[in-house]
Amino acid sequence: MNSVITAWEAHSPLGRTAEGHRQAVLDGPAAPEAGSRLVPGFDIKEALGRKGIRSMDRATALAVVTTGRLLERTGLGKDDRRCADDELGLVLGTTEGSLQSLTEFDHDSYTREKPFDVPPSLFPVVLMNYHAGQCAIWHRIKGPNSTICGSHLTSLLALSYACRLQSNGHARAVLVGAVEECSDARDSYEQARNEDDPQRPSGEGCVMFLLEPAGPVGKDGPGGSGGPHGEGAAVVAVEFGFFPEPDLVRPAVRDCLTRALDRAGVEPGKVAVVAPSPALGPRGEAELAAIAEVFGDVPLATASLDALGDTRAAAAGFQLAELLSRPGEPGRLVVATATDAEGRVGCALLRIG
Amino acid sequence: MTSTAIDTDLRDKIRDIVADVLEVEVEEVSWTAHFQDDLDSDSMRAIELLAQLERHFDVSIKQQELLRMQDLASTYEVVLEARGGK
Repeated sequence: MNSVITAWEAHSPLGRTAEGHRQAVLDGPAAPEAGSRLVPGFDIKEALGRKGIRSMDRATALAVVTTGRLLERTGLGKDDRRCADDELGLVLGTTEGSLQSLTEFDHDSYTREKPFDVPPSLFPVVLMNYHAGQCAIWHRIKGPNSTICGSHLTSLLALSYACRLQSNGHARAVLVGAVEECSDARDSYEQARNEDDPQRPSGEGCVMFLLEPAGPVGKDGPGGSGGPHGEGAAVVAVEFGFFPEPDLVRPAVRDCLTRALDRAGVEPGKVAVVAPSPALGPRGEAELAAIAEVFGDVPLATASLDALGDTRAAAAGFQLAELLSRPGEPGRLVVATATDAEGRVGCALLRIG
Repeated sequence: MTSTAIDTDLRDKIRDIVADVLEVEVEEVSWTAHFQDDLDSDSMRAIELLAQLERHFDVSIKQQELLRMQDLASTYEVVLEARGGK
């Protein structure tokens, strides 16, 4: 792979900025209150002003805010952009769009006099690419605009997609990340779906990475490697796999990790730290067992898991953010893993610096 | 329009809905402020306004009336007609 993460930004229960989030990871986040892990005090109107937000869902607002901050911080803000608008791509992961908006829209269709008596302004919002589209509209991003949905694998699928987009020359710089919102609809959905499985409280937030081509970036190019916090990391490998039966999680994760290491020509012993997914129960245990099987007694990066809860689409993105919050020496190899209830597994291997 | 007195309660309620849909302050919605030219409306907001008026007043407004609904004055007339002059 030929892509480098040169900066990242977050808006999460841990912090309203990457710096706040990073500091909370380093300090050890305060013990969260019971229940959903909300981004505290997040108000759409306060964050974005009064125009263009009437029907906007929380996830979209979080994504627009986070994306805007990352662009501003890396010299790619729309008023002072160091590359053409169409050289900048966006790949955003979500669950299935906004479940809350979707539920409200459907509710009206069933309960009002006519099935088409639904609020028209909610219609764009219930489409799954509304979030990415709004980010592009607000920030004038005219390169490829993609939405990736894949439950807990979303962030890794988005990263893989973004790397491909870049290596095939479709975009010079790509903003890639994922967003998740807490809502009554999502809680009901998750409870119904995972009745018997232990799960963390639902969490929300947005995490975005700036992906640039490896190698020296020209003085006129976007971004510039390194970033203000030295958060640079090369994407060495992103790999996926599948388990056809629940008791095959462990070999699926193990084989996925082994493929990533083989592809990158990396010895397992060289990996310094692994960030596992927020999965609990047998699937979570199998994931940890596979990590131990491949890497032995490797340190695990789990400082933010409890405070973030289950951020689903954004979960693996936040795991990468935790790894980048404690980057360590340049050249250090770090791994994030993920599994989901539908049978997917995945991992990303990054090289710091 | 005839010299019939304006129903100020109806007018004010319509004005609140317009301000909400167009995301402007109520004070900006004067009797003749043009939705599109003065208040930055567009076709999406226009159809939303129609839907909100239908919901709030429990009336049915034909879509071709959208062409007439260009300011508060004309929208008031459309709603009044939809309510059968009530």
